[in-house]
Amino acid sequence: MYYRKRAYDGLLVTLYISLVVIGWLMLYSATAREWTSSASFWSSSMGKQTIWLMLAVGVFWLFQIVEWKYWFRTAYLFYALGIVLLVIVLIWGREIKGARSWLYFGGWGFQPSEVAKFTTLLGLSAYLSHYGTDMRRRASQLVASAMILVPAVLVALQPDWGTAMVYGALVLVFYRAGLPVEYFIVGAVAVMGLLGGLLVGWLKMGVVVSVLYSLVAVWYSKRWWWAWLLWLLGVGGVAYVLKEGLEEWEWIVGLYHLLVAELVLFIRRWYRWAVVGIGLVVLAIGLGWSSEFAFREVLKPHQQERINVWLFPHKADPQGAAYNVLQSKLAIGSGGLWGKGFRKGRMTELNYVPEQTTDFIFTTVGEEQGFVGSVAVLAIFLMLLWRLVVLAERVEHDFMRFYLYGVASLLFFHVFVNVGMTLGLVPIIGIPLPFISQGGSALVVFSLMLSVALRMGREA
Amino acid sequence: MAYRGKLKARATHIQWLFLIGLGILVFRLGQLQLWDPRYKIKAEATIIDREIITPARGLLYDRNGNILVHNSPTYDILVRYNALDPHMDTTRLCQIFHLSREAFARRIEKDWRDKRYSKWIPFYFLKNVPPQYVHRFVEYQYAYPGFEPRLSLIRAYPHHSAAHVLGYLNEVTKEVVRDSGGLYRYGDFIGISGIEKYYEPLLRGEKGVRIVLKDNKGTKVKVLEYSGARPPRAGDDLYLSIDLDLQQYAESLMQGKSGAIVAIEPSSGEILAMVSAPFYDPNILTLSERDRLELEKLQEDSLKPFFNRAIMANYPPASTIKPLMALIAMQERAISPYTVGSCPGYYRYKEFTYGCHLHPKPRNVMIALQHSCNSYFFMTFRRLLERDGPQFEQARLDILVDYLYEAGLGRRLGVDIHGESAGFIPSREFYDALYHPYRWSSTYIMSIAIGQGELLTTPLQLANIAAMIANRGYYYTPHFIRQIGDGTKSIPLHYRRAHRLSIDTTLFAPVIEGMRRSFIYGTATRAYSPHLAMAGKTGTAQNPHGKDHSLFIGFAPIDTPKIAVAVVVENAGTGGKVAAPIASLIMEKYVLDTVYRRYLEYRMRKLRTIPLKKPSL
Repeated sequence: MYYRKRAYDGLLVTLYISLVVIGWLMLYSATAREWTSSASFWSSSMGKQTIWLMLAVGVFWLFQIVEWKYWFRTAYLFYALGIVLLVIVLIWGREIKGARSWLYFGGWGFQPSEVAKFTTLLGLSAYLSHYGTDMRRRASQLVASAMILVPAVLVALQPDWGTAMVYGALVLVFYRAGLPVEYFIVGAVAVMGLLGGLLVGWLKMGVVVSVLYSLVAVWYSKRWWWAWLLWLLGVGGVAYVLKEGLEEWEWIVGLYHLLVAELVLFIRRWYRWAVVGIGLVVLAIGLGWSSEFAFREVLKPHQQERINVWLFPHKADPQGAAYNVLQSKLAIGSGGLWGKGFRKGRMTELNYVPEQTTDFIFTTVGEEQGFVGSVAVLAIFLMLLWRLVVLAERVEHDFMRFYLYGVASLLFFHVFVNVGMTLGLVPIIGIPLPFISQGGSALVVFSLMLSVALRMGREA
Repeated sequence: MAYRGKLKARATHIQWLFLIGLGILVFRLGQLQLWDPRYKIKAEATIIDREIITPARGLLYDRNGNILVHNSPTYDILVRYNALDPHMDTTRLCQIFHLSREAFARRIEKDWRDKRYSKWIPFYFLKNVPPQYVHRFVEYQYAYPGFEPRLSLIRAYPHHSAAHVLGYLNEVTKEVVRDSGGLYRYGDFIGISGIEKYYEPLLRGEKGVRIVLKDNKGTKVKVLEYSGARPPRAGDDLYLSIDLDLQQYAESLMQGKSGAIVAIEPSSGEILAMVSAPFYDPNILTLSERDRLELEKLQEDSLKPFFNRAIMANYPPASTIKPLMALIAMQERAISPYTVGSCPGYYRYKEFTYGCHLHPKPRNVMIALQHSCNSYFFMTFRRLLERDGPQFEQARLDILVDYLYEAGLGRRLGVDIHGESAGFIPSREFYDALYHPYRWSSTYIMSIAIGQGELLTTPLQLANIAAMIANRGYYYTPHFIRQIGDGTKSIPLHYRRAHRLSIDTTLFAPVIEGMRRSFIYGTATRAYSPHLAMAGKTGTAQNPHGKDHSLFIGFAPIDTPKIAVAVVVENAGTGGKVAAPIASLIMEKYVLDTVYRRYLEYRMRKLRTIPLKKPSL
């Protein structure tokens, strides 16, 4: 590759620069009360962040000189380096807020768990793009999962469960790499079972799963009109039972839907699916029942409270566990359509939202820029993700493809969880909003990841 | 590579995932920011505090600009329960505030189910604390988190007088708060009696609202200019018609007695002085905790010092009704000014006999009034009722009652303090019920003629009659209000309108002359003053429970009346002995501004009708 195949992807650069600038402005607004009162701008946290920002942009620019092949060749090395850093931080790291996640050099600290996101992704992409790897095979599945699990466990040991969960986002790459869809279906049903058990109880959730199961069965049953009739009749029954609160009839309507599904599948002679379907329903009900049981009997009150904050906000103590989310929702809600204007966010200015410069920076966006500004920020992220997928499908080597998908998955997970958390959709997991939250190492690592992605985009 | 080709489709799935994921976020954003207003409202409520600013209550002045009631700064101690240190040194705190342990516990442990109290909202621990205690407390305040002294204003009465007129304040009750529609809040004060109650809407002013931005710790950051904010408006100052000097002088004359004095300026109906004895110092009711006991003590006193006798007590007017009777009879042509009466020292009609005292023959109305001749007025009364023949006697009583009613008897005059009594005029219906319709006649009810029997009046009504006579036929409703604030608000119309009686002005001359002569040679000679021409009428109300009540009405000077006065002294004997001298002193004091008859003043002050309390051992 000694010639220029393609220019820099201008859209990606623009999106990156706009995100970084928006992030800087939001932090500028959120920390105004602090740095206007401190002696000098540069000694405040905002000044520090500005230096980090320049460093990040420098990294973004600098790493354009590194071609993808170098990353490909050194991927396992970097992966190992990441693991070593994670081990080191467990031994020599500085404990802040109960987690041993910081390494300090002089006055500047960074989080190896952030760096490890990048290195893990490199290693994983290299493994997945190996010619011998086939995600349909058990061995490949195990190795690939282990490559994610090792750093995740090390991070979880710090303990930093939020960041550990980030590594889970990389299963999206597995999907693209060919992991059979059944795993995802089982996973989705399992998640549904767990959540449904907590939300509505195992029986109601079982009914819902049965309805979905029979829907799928009827859908694929060559659209027999009598099957649809049976199904609709059942749905009517479910609606009636739920509306009237006839709890003793719930299991009957659930069973009815199961029977409809089985009937359709047997007539089509899809015996395998009939069995698998029943298995999935049982799995969901079992998980629902156990999650309900675990919530009641196993979890300690403070853990129950955390779940309450997420699923049942009205049950949680507004001065205690639910305080963050409540204040964050209020701040965002008070923004309205157009927002209150830059540096005019009162709840931001008056420090109502804890962690508002890091994990809850989106509240500043929501309050000061309103619905329009928030949607604009999300739109920028969406364009970024879209562009990364488009580039990933263009590149010539699987390493680059999986790497680009990995970057996109990580970004998506961060954005969805972080913003969802400020909106009260997702439980509070302390992970930053990429390019916008305060925090040097995350900013630099995300810039680095995106820089490498941009360079790879040129190879397409 | 079919398999790899198939996998390409998965890119679209992932793109859909991204789109749906962020779409969920956008939907939630819309829910929070666009179509669910709760968050916006709640956010406002979280960061914005509406502070109610209670304005200073209006001050009260007397007619000469002397201050009667003002607001005096004092300290309250507030406590926020949740901020208390459970290990604080309560012994020292009790020493600082001179509290007993029980009192301390009682003040801290509130009934938390009561919605007036909250563990987060500061409540009153002590009220009206002496400043020296507060200064000592402030030294130790660091050791007592949750305690906080707050400056507040209480009512203060620099002159210690006119307690009944001015009234007092107390904390609002639950019911008032509930029914006020947000006008009052717990801890506010409201007028309970007197002027403070009657003019409460003027005195309290308008509460202001300040909208304050507070940060996450509740610290106030800045005051906002908001649509809901408004400055408080201080209560209106009221200028009362009370003459402080006269009031204090009247109170000094009434010490040791029970009874009432009302002095009115006839030309305007303004009340110059109103005393109800026994009286109390209004300052003791400015309600700190220890003074609650004083309040209870006053309420339990058998002499009822809280009872404003000047407007609430009903006395038989006795002979003080005679000038009015004479006027009514002359107006009705029952007698003429020259009608001659006879008085053998008693009046007899069949089995009815009523005594009179030794005095010259009542050759006309003037002399009858001068000597307060009972016989003459029995005759007058019978002539009044029997004028049209025996079958019209009951109907004639109606006419008499109408005149009395017109003169302000038997109904509330409408003075501007609450609790006024109506007195009582026995009407035709009353006697119909008492005897039987048409089974009674003038001779059954003759005691009305001399103000005894069923007729009852308040001292205020008596003073009003004196004012009416002084004005030769009209009166203004007695009132205290003279000016509201800077005078831009006018006083109520019904205090500015004269009530004219249907009695000819010319008829007043003989009556007033008789009232004048009673000082020179008549019933009120003991009250004679060489310096001031006064007119007056004594009265001695028979009291079945003890010594007679001494009554007097009068006015001075005769030609240009400046003051009309009514005095009632309970259990003091005849009207000429006590009430008339006191009234004459008051008139002299007000008209001449000095009192020449020091000996009389001395005697009246020394006179006691209430026995001294024996010290309880």
